[in-house]
Amino acid sequence: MMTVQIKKIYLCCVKIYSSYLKDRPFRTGDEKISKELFELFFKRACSFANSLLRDDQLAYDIVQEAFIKIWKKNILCPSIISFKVYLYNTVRNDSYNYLQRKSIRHSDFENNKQEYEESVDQMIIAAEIEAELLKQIHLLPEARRNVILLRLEGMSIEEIAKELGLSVNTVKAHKKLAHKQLRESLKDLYIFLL
Amino acid sequence: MHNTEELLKIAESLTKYLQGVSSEQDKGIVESWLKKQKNREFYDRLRSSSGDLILKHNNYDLSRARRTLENEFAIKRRQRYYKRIWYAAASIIILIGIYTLFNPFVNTKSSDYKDYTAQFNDFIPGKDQAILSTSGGEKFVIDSTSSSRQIIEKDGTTVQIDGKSVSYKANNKSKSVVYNTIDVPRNGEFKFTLSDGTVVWLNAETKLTFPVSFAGNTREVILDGEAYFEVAHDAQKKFIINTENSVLEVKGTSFNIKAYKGESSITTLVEGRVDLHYKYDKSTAVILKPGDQAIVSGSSNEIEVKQVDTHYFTAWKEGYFAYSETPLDEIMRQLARWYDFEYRFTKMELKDDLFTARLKKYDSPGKIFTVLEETGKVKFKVEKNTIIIY
Repeated sequence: MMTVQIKKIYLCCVKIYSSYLKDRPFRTGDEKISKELFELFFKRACSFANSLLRDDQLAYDIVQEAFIKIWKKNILCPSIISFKVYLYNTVRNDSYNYLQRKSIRHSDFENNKQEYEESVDQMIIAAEIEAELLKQIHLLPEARRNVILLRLEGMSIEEIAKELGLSVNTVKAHKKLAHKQLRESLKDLYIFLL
Repeated sequence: MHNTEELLKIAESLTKYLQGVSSEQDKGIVESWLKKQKNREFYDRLRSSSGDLILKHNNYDLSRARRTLENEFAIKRRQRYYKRIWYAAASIIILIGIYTLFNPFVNTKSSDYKDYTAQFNDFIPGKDQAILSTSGGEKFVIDSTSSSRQIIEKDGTTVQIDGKSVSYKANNKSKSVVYNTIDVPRNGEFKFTLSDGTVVWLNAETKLTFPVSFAGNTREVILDGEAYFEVAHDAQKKFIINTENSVLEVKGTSFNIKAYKGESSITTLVEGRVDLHYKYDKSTAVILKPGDQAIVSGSSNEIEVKQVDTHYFTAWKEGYFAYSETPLDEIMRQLARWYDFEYRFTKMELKDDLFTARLKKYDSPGKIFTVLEETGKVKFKVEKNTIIIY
């Protein structure tokens, strides 16, 4: 199969809660709920795992297995928060186990265990902030969103223009509008995007 | 210590606080969290890193994981369904079982083998194919079906596409540098010669950007993926290869370089000499001798150099995959690119299992997986286009 490949833009799963998943008790074994949870939380779990493992691919695999595991266990969650707690803890434990088995220790881990664990904790906060940013980016109109995402990947305006088949001026205009919109919706959170 | 729930509450209050929609309670939570020195430092670092700490690894393709999850659903549904049938059909199965047990003419082994290899039939070995992008942005598919065609590049270089090959004839008067890109998809490989006589083998899922004629003072190319170079000697013009993590400078040599985005870059020198350094730090420069292998990982700027048997790393261009104590994870990555499949480890520890093997890469994947399975260390099965390793 021959198709000309253009760069794929993967916008991650930070969507708005649909009506299906309300903040009330649910079981993770339900397919619909499980799908919804996946869309909402896969990306941030990857970010978190990656900050522990420093390996994108491995982080992805571990999070994927975590989701399958949680689905199979059919856990009763009183609320979304308790699901998030379970997810983060699973990803954290699986990542630790992996590192331990491969006897990889980050030097910071050796030096000061408590400090290391504190910094891991903080990564949850970073992942959550990131999720909020992505949620707002997701709400942008498609053209603006693509420009912003490629920009975040470090592409120059010219490269983005080429990638999306737009003129440089159009890309600039999209970028400007996107930033304006994000500044309004994110308020002080916007500084994390600069 | 690990009070994840508390952390999530802090994160929620913090985002609300920064978005200006926080309650008094949120404010209190944020303020008391920020009172702690460590947290303050972290928060300042996050703010001042201009997106460095977050949003740096955003390019996850969720579709693969989404499919995997849905596969799991489907398996479960099927299992439930089969369970019901099972009870109903138990007696028949037992009868068939007794029949096969006492009937010497039923050769279960060979039919098992056929069934086993058949499940991989959707995947086929790669072939010569590539996409050529000219400096004008035009794209041409080069494979056995493409017709002959000549393109004159902006600097006067003649690009000749002929069936499965492409060649470059430089117009020596030109001074400007014009780039082309050859993009080999998954399930592909491609060999061609640059205008300076350098021969390049490109492995599956590889992209090489190069000048159509080498008018400048150096010969400089950009590589994402795996390639084997036989660089034509030219003492005046260094040949420079840029990858995601490393930069290689050579004059005339043969070597293999594997530098897929997001993976370590591995240079294996067969002949001649290579000067290599970490992309962002020239002081890391090392000189490789034949038989040396240099590994540059993306996360640290240390270059690891060791002696290897080069044949394992260049076998792919001779029609083989050769592995010596190679982790299964690495083997699967290579096979997936060649046969174009997706795969999933059900147990993470299998990733690290070491295999030594010599496999013919034009063989069907069924044969390849039979060989790997015969080691008894691992099993494979196909479920909805994904190879499950268990």
